[in-house]
Formats: sequence, C-alpha cells, structure tokens
Amino acid sequence: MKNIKTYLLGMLTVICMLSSCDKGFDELNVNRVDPTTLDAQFIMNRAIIEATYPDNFATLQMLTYNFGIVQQIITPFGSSLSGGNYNIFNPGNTTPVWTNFYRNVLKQTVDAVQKTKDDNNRTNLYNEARIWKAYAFMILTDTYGDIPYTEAAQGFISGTIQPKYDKQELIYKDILKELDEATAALDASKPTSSGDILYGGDIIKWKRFGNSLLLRAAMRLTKVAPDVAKTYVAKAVAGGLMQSNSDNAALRHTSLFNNWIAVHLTAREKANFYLAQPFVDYLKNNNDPRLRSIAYRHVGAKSGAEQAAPRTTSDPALQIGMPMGYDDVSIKNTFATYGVASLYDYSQVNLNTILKVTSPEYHVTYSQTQLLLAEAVVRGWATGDANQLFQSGIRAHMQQMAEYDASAAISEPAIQTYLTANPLNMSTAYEQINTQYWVASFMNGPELFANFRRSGYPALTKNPYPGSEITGDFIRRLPYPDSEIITNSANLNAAIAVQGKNDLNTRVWWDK
Amino acid sequence: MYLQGRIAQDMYTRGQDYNIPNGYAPIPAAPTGFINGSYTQDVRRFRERNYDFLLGANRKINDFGVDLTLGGNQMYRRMEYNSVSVTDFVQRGLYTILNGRIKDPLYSKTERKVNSLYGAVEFSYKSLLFLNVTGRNDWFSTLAPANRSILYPSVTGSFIFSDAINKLPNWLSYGKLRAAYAEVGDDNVAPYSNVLYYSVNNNLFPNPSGQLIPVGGINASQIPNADLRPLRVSEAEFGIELKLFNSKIGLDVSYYRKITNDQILAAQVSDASSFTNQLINVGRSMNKGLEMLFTVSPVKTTSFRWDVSANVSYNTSEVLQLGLNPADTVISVGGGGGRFVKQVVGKPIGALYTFLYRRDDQGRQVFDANSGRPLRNNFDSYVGNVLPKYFGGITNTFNYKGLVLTTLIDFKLGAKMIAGSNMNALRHGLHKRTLVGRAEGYVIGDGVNPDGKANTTKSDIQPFYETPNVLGVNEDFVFNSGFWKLRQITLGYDFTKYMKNVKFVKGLKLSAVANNVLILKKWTENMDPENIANISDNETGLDFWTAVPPTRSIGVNLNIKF
Repeated sequence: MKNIKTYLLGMLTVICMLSSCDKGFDELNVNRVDPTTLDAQFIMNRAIIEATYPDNFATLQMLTYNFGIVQQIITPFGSSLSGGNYNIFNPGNTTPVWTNFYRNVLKQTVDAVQKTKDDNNRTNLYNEARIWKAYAFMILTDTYGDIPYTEAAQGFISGTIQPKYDKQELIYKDILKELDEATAALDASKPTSSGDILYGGDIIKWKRFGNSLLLRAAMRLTKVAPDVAKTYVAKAVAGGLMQSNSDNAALRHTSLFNNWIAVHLTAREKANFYLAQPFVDYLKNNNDPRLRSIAYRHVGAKSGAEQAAPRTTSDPALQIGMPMGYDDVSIKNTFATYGVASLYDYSQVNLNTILKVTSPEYHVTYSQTQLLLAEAVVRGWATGDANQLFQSGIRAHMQQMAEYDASAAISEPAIQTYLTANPLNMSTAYEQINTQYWVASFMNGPELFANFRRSGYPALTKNPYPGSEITGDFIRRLPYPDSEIITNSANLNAAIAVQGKNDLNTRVWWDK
Repeated sequence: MYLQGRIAQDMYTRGQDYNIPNGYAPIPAAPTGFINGSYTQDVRRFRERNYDFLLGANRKINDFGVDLTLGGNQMYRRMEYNSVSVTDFVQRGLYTILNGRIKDPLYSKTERKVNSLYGAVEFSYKSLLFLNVTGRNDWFSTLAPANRSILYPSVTGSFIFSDAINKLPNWLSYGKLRAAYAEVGDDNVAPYSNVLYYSVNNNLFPNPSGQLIPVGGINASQIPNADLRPLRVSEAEFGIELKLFNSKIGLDVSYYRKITNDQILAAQVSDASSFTNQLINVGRSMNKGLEMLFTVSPVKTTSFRWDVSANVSYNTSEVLQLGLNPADTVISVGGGGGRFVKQVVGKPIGALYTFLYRRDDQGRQVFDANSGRPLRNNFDSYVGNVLPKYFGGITNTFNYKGLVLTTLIDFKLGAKMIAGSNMNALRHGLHKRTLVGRAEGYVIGDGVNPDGKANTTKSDIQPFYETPNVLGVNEDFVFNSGFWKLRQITLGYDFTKYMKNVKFVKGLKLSAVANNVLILKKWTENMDPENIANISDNETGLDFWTAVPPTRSIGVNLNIKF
C-alpha cells in the first residue's frame, strides 16, 4: 500500500509538472528576438525606401513596360524581358507594381497611419503617412485602373483577405481629398522628427511635396473631370508648391541602400537594355545638353563583353538610339541603316551618371511641378507666365543632372542656350510642356506611363513590332496579376465586369 | 509493476560557409576600391530534450492477461540560427566576414514544447485475442492557450483465428484479423505564428542632413493566427494476415479510412491585403486506401530458393471542407509561373492547375490575329492530381547455395505533374517541338483567330515558342508523373562459412550493388519524373528549373564482422 501511495504521489507531481502547472509554458511561445512593435517613424522610413523597388526583378516592370511604352528604354530580347518592346502581355512583368506597393509600401504605410492616428504628438507624422499612402494608391490605380482601395492593406488590421475593388473615380476623389486634408493639416508648430529620411522632418518641405503631389493628382483628371481638376489645382497652388530642386521628393540611394534599377542594369541585364531611338533623336535633334549626361555608347561593340572602357563615349553626336519594333533576331536588319556593329553598339543609359547604384530616384520633382503648373496656366486654371514656368521646369531638370554625378552637370550657359532656342509656343504648348515632362520624368516609370496616357504627348508613333497583341497604338493599362484569379476571383470578376477586359487595351477611367 | 524515468537529449551544431566569388558577372560591380562578391558564414544550433516516465503493471489470471501502462512526456526543442553575410570585399580572394564591405547579421531562435500524458491497457486471452486501448493528452506551446490541449484515444483488437479454430484446412498455416480505430493530434505550425513581428533593418539610412536613421517595419508576409487549434486525425483500419501452404505464400491486406480535421495551412491570400498567406485551420479531408503485402516462394529446394515479395498501396483522398465557412471551396497553397497546387472541396488533395490555351467552341486553338501567337484562357484550369494513387515495390530474391541475387522494382502511378523543365527548353529553342518553323523562320499556328477565321498570321519563331512560358500556359507539359524503375540489383555471397578458422572474424560478406539501374517506364518527356528541384510539399508536381539529375551508382560492399 505504501508503495502505491508513493507512486501515486510521484505521478501527480509529474502530471502537475507536465500540464497546467508547467510554469513558463505560456511564455515559451514568445519570440524573444523580434519586436512586436516599432516606432512609426522607422516604419514610415521603410515605406519610403520600398517605394523604389528594393529588388532586382521588380524593376523589370519599369524596364520592360513603363520605359518601353514611352519609348525611352527598350530591350530587343523576349521571354522574361518581353513587354512594351513587343506590346505583349507578360504577367511576370505586369505584376511587380501590385505586389510591391500592396505587400511592402502599403503594409508599412497603413501601419504607420494606424499607429499615429490617435496620437496628438504625432499629427505631422500621421499626415505624412496619409500623403505617402495616397501616393502609393495613385501609382497602383494609374497602373491598373479599378483596384482594391477601401478594403485594401487590411489583412492584419481587420482580417480582410479578399478586398473588393473600387472604381478609379471614387479612388481619385478620395486621393484628392486625402492629399488636400493631410497637407493642410501639416503644422510646423507641432512636433516633428529629424528621423524622417525624406525631408528630415522639415514640415515646410513636406507641405510643398503634398501640394505638388496634389497638383499632379488633379492634373491627372484633365480629360475626364476638368472641373474637379481645376478646383484642386487651385488648392494645390494656394497651399504652396515646390520652390526649388531642394524640395524634390527623392530617395537618395547609398552604397548600402542601392538604386535597384542600376543594380539590375550593371549586372544581370547589363547588355540587354538600350536607349530608344525616339528619345535619343528628340534630345539629339534639339541639341539637348542632357543627352551627354544621360547616354553613352560603346562604339563598335560586337558583344556584351565588348561594352567596355576604350569604346565608351558620351559624345552626343555619336549617340544612336535603338529603333523601336525589333527583337533580338530581326534587329540585325537595322545595323547597316544606323551604322552599328551589333545590337550591343546602340546607346545605353550611362551607368556612371544617371544609373550608378547610388544614384537618386525621384518621386515628385520641382521640374515636373513647374511643367504641370505651366500647363495649368495655359488652361487658365492658374495665374502666371506659362513660358517662364516652362523654362523654369526645364532648367530645374537640367540642374538636377548634377545630383546624379558631377560629370553629368550642365553649365548655366548651356542651359541658357537651350532655353533661348526652345521658347514655349502657345499654339503647341501642350505638346511642348508634356514632351519636356517626358524628359524631366526620365527613370520615373509610373509617372512617365501615366502622363503620356493623359496628355497624349510626346507624339510617339506606334511601336511597329509585327507581333503586337494590342488593338490600339499603345498599351493603356497593365492587367491585374494572375494571383488575383487564384485568391480573389469573385471581386476580380466584378471589377472586370465594370471596367472592361483585363488586358493591355482597356483604358482607365481618367484616360477615357 | 515497474516505474521507469528517462531523460534524453539530442543536439547538433552545424556550421556552413559559402560565397559568390569575386568577378561573378550577374552581380553588380563593387564601388571603387572594393571587389564584388559575397560571403556567408552561419551556424545552426539544435537541441531537443525529452523527459518521460512510464509506470507499468501486469497481471495474469488463468487465460486472461492485463497489461497497464501510464506515462508522460515532455518534449522541448530549440533551434538557434546565427549568420553573417557580407557583400563586396576589401582584399581580393579573401572570403571572410571581416574583409566585407556591407555586413548583414541575422539571428533567430525558436522554442517549442509538447507536454503529453498517456495511458494504455492491453487485455489478452490465451495469446489469441488481444485488445489494446490507449488515451493520450497533448499540450502544444505553439497554439493558443484555450485550444492547445487535445485528448485522443485509440482502440486496437486482433484475433489469431488460425490458433483458435481447430478445424481449419491444412493449407492455412496462419491467420490473423485485426481492427483498429485511432485518433492523433498534432500542431503542424512554427512557433510564434500567433503574433505579428517587426524587424529593424541592419543598416541605417541617412536623412537629408546626413544623420543616420533607423529603418524598420512589419517583418511578416503571413497573417498570424492567435486561435489555431491542433489538427486531429481519425483513422479506422481493418486488416487480415494469412500464411498459406506451409508459409510459402504470405498475404497481409489492410484497408484504412482517415479523416484529417483542422489541418493548419498557409493559404494564399490576395496581395491587396498586404500579405501573401494566412494561417488557418482548413476544415476536413479524407484519405482511404488499401495496403497489401504479398510474399511467395515459388521455388524452394535445398540448393536454390526464389522469393518474391510485393507491396502495393492504393490511396485516394478528398477535400471535404475548407476554411471557416462553407463558401470557401478553394485555397491555393503553392505555385507560380501559371503552375499552382490547390486544395479544392470535392477533389483529391493536391489539385494541379494551370492556364490552358484558348480554344473555340469546336475545340480549335485560338491565335492572336495580329501576332500569330497562342492566346490563353482568362482563368486557370484543373489538370489532375499531384499525389500518386498507387505505389509499391517488387523484390525478387534468388539464392543459389549462398550466392544471393536481389532485384527491386518500384513504381508510383496515377498522378500528374507539370514537367516544366521542358518549358525552359521550349522557350530557349532547345525543345524538339521548336523545330517546327525553324527552316522558314516563322510559325503559323494551327487553329483560328478570335473572329473564327482560320489563322494565317506568321508569327516570328522565337516569340512564338516563348509565349507559353510568358503566359504561364503549361498544358503541353502536363504529364503522368508515374514510373516503373529497376531501383536496385544486389549480388552477394556470404563467405562466413569459410572463415571458421580465421581468428577475430565472425562474418564476411561481399556484395555488388547497383542503384537507379533503369527506368522501365515513364510518361514525362525528356526528364525523369523524380528529377525535380522543388521539394516543398506545397509544390509537389510543379517542376520548372532543372535539378541535378539522380545518378546511377555501382558499388561493392564488403561487410566484415569482428
């Protein structure tokens, strides 16, 4: 009997130890390494960095579609590099805007908004995050049209995993409202933080950025809702726009946080992307000093390996843009015409200036803002001297070249010569302004694609590639990612029913 | 009566280091003054401790026996991971972390515990009839406190009827019936899946005045779930074991039916939610099948013996319910490039989907009128199941006076896969199919245009063959993933009998072994169906990048016992 008692007692002790009385059992499932929250400023910083694609392959979206559609940079190669070069649907490259902005930028931005919305000491950070959120959604809706907006980026907050799609008209109205309200609510007398990587907590600069972005969003609606556009242009101008290049919203990449387009073009895709003929010819024919800053060519190169130092030249007279409409086989037929040794002999983006791995990437610039304002003046929506704004916009972009590299800097006399030769002619004002906007937005993929569709300028000719899939002259929109067919098909199909076919032809609301 | 206590520890430390060498072309050049490349040094430290006790008692009263055991176990498992990666070097050719320009450290630590209590009672009668009843309760540290306890029972009975019944025919040497019902619980989830975690970037980013600022954010692409329950498997099994004709023929057949409830899966969610996956307990699935082992000795003489042993399994499954509400009928668990594995209600586990070429009502393939390239459907389609219905092996053993020849043939049948290595060959013009049109330099696809007229558009040959990969149309490469293989041949001889006079040697056996001898039958084009790079369960049946091929090996085995 005594034995049994001892056993039972021993067993009870062990049972107790093993089950509910096991101290530390609850605490065991707590990660001691990673934090469960962070300062909203640092989260916002990540959102800002991630808006410039911190990833090799994601940059292919810009390289293959945006830059190709607006005929600035083109590749003759197909398969994983196909897109705007052949005017065909390549789901691998139409997707990265969606994945990067929803999964990375908005995940962090919405969290920063959430963490600051009820904090009276962080109203400035809260409103900065709202501006960034509006910016991210703008890029998404400009690219795809109707998108998840009101229910989006809520996977953790509300558990919504299949967000419904909203109409672009509704989205744009809300973006305008958000930009207007958030920018107006920024207050230099309230606490701010130098921990902000975009402007170091300078609220005046944030306000100018917010208003300049508001101007951009308003001008997007010139075709479809001029009255709304006009109203918000007035608000943006009244609120105060960017005053100089020092107000530019840019990510100044470092040797630790690289410019990934540059990383991709200096490495894996080094010999695959070229400056397109329409872009090179436009700069060349107008004696644009920016050509020397942007382009170089490896004269006589017959292979990627031969694209090396002794052949390299930035001499504008020697630049030859790759003609549109060829693949890597048919491009051979152009060599004699243009006097190149091989496809590797065409001009490329200069990897020592614009595309160093530490080169900045610009989101909204003073130059773009001046040009948009010039157009608003021509439309009679703002007061000012359109020619002066036009020239100021060009000057700002030429001066911006020095920020890439000292060797890309353009001297004041050169700027002056160009401006004197290229005044704004009121009868061709829209074309001139928006063609300059096209140059001034070089390397800013989403903005290039959007403003080209909105304004119709520059006056490009259709990419003549014989195997084009599109029905019109240009790609008007990128299709939704295949992952939505798999994960959110009911909402996707509802959106397609409203907006139109999920292809490269359907125009987004503001592009009707 | 006895009491037993045990403490066991299992641990390992594994260090690894690897580099991308200086001068490798697909990585960018290093800044001036540095040499490109990268180097990683990492260490994994694993420890598992088990504490258990067992209390047992048995009693025999006449023909009846009772055997009682009670026990408990605590399993504690810890994994730590340390790594430092560096990018670009100061000194050429010196692969060390101290020589690196950008340094990225990483550290993680996970811990989990499972506490268990169990008991078992076995009743026996005359060594003929057995009944075994068990109960077990587990507590999982990885699951929510309210859900983490699970109690599950089992009952097993067996009856050796050949011994119990006297008037059985002579040819029946042995016969046993068995029946079992068992439940099992488990937590198939990583620790810390209940909370959203953040991370701080390794490097600081300068603000406009050059001050270095921290950067951080949400670290997860998976929506955490604080309410996960353990999964529960309930299985019923019936079996019969027979030995016939003096044990020359043996047969063991069992039928099982298994229901899995609350399997924890990472279901793919819309990217617009900001996440890629959500952890959920996904309803119910069923597996059932037959397992059979057949042995026969067709020839048995004093100098020669031939034994055959064959095992065959047949398994079917069905997803019965998914998600939290009846409307959830599909979840995607893995894939890309137009190749997906999904769980679909009403279909077997592991449904394979891909995009198909667009076809008109008459089944004619549709080509774009302008480009001449194939078009695809706007939706993906079901093309089969990735898990085999049948698998098994046949072993033949021939023994002639101690010289033993053994062959093993094995097979897997009744599943589909996307043999995507072919897609890589196709898009690069290396596949035999790309010969069509090569002489002409163009292809005219056999079919119609969207308006129904016959397709006459010449497509450039290269983009034509790149199109299926670009569009994720994998239907050309959906193959039966089954195979019959001659897996192994062994020829051996036991020399022990000649070693009686040799001191120290207790046994000596020499054999020649050949592995992966021959593929007897396969259906996949240009590849071994087992030669796949994806080893994740969620990507079964999805092949794309070429893997290192399995090798045939031939060797000699000398086995000496001292």
